[in-house]
Amino acid sequence: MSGNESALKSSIKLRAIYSILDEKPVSEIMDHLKIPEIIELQKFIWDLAVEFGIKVRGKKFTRKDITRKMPSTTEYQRSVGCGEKIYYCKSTHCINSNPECATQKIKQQVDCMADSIREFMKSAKSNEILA
Amino acid sequence: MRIGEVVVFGTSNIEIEQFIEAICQFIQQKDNKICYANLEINDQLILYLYGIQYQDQPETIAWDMLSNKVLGYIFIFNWYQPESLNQIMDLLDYVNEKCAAPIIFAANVANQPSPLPDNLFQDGISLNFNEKLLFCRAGDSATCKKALVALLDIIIDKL
Repeated sequence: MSGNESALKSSIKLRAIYSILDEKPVSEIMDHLKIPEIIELQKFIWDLAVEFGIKVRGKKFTRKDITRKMPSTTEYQRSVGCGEKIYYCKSTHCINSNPECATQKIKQQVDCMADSIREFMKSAKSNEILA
Repeated sequence: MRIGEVVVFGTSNIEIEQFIEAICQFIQQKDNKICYANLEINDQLILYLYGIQYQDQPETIAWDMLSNKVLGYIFIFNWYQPESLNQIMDLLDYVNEKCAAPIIFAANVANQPSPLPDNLFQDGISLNFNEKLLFCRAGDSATCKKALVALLDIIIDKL
């Protein structure tokens, strides 16, 4: 009878936000999560990063403000020596067949998203000072 | 007159009482683990705020008495004391399994700076349609009332 029917507990989301604002890697809380939780956490942090981006940059915000720090799919595959087709890595195809590798990639992405949130916050703080 | 009940959970009695007093002006009754105050909205509606100190296991709380009528919960914790957050997490997972009532996480920054700039997320960060995180200063009427208003907003949005 929960108000939150997703696979991801609210306590994990709260810990993720705490990590972001406390300037710690979000990936550190992901080690004990199950695959569905990892996927949901990635989506939650992405949505949060977009929300921060829009609030701070308004119409100037683009996805690239968040993704520019992430290694490209090609770069990641090369770094781990993966020979699978690129779309396997882009989507969540690999998450069930190669959970460790897919999780590692998602961890990197989540930490990059967290970094972008912190950059948006710094930007907002300087706007506050200038205002 | 209609009555609405809100439960304020926290790990520190002092923090809970400061929070409730900031909203209701004074605590009407208290013992070592529970305090109570009310807030008259108008001649038709009054809110009862119950402050409960959480220290043990969630199973020790009388949920059958609390959860049937409660409008929602406010979990107050000290942002700068990680142990305070960890204790609240245990309770949160338990509450999520037992009840569908909305929850506001009121992160008390006391006299320290808020980690969020004042011009961002004034109304809180949504965890889902039913739960939000807000920063407040226990004892500061404006920020504590904002937490209560955020709870009421979730309830109204669900109607």
